[in-house]
Amino acid sequence: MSIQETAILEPGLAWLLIALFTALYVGLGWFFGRRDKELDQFVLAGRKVGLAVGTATAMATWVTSNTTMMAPQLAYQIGLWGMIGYALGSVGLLLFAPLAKRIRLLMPHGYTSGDFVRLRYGHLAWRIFLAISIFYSFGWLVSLGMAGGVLTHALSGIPYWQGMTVILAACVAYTLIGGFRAVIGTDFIQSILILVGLVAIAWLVIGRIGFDEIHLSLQLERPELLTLLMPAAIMFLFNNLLFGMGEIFHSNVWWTRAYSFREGVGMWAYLLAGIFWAPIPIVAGFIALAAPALGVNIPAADMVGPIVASELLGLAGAIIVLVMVFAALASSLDSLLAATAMLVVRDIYYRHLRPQATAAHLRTATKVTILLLGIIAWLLCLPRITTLAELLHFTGAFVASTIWPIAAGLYWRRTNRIGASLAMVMGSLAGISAYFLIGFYVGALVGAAVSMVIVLLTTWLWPQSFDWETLKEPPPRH
Amino acid sequence: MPHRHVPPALWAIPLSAVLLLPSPTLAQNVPTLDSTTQTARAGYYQLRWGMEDADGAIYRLEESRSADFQTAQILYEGADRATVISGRSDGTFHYRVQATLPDTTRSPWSSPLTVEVAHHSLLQALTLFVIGAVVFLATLALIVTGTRRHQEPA
Repeated sequence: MSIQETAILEPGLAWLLIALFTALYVGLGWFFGRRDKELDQFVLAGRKVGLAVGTATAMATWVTSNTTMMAPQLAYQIGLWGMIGYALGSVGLLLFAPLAKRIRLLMPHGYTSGDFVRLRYGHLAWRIFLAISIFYSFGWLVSLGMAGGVLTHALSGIPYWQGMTVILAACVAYTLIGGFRAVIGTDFIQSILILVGLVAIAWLVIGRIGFDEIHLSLQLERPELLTLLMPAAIMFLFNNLLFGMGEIFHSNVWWTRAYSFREGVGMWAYLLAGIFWAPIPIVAGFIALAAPALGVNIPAADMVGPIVASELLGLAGAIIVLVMVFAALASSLDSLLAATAMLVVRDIYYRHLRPQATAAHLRTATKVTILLLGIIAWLLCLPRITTLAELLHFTGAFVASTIWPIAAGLYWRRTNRIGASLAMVMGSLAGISAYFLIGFYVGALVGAAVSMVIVLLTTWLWPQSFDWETLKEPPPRH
Repeated sequence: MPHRHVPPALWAIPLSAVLLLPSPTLAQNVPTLDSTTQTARAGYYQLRWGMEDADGAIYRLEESRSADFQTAQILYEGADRATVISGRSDGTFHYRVQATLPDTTRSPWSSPLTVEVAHHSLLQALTLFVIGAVVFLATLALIVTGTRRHQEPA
């Protein structure tokens, strides 16, 4: 049953826009990926990505539909800290910059984040890591698919499942056709669409509503959103920062980029992407605070961004939001599909099941996996079980527990395999307990803290002497 | 708006007779009203409502600080079937909803719903804030010192 009966866009116009941009992305996907016949080209764009495209792909991938829809949701639910806390997600990109440089140096022939954990910590830690990473990937995939449905429903009244299905299918299609080069090529176009869209919305909003009016309505109707001492918001601040770090440090989405960038590019690409990304959630989050001043009803917290933008800006605003958020979620969905498929194929299929597989066979397996991931994500998206923020933050406890095993593993010889495995398991358990006992705004924080203590203790108590050369595993002979 | 009371003598009429009586002002169905939580620890919650066979209905959601709705205010009036409340300070809030059908008949009020807003303790929040800050600064120190130490190729 629909919970919202009023929408700005005619469903026909919304379908037309979705069809146009789907055709654009599929066409671009074919164009960018038409020459990538080799496996290395299909999955890592030949390891020659330059600074401009590198920065754009890192930024566009991190500007997900979650940034444009969850930042307003959190501002609407927990106020100023929600908005600022979300912007602290840029810290993950900034801190991954030196890690990307080191990853490229230590593992010139690496393919996945799983390769690092396998070589650095052995098979037990590797399998724990794969479970966490694949679970997280599904959480992110489902939140993106859900965002597609929520967005089209909020703007046009199109039933949730229809919008979700079409947007998910579009992203699967062009990722399948073009491979990794299509992903980063479309990311470049999509990052331009996102930035232009945000600037246009900010420019239109400034002319229509004043700070005083927003402040007064919040003070009268929702005073806690303005207070800097709201307990849940205070806890959320570092939770979101650590969640972002956990997402980026462990996820194959970011590792494949580190491997694919030309030498010397990774550090600057991630630094610039972090700097460009930081203001985006502030702009996106701010418009949610205008909802009380507008007197507009918000039926679900994750619909607040699109509803306020279209209420404030009418048809033009609704069109801009649809194009921008479609670009934002497509730029992340394609990256996630490609990177997760690669993790599944290389770390599970190739390493566990078919070590003799040829390059051509793995290329086909990657395509089949992209399709399967799309289908499974679609099935999981169908029952809209929770809000975007609560779904994504559920995975926070797990990914934050990988921060210390990854960072310490890249810099400290003495961090050992038992410590890394224990840190990921105990960190995840502690984080998920905190998620249920306290709230979604503490899962990552508690997970990261417990994991850090275990890594520090075990490194101190049972130091190992790791040989960095072990990470320079020669490329597989397919 | 005053609460609509059931007439005192109604208990004496058989239920089947009540259901068969045509009513000029009241629809037969009663709206349902639910909240995502009964105790909101972060000051936000979602209220959802609806009614069977009520296509095109306009709903009126009221909020009151007292259980008898003597000082109720209209929180929402329209066709949507949910709303998100946020930014509330500690306290107890009572809600009820009524539907008006396209033929102007009005439903009875839903059963009242009570939500208590009780924020987490500030001490707990600040403790977790400090833990978060320590983890972040330690991670930053690890990366900065590690990067400096490994300037040369490994």
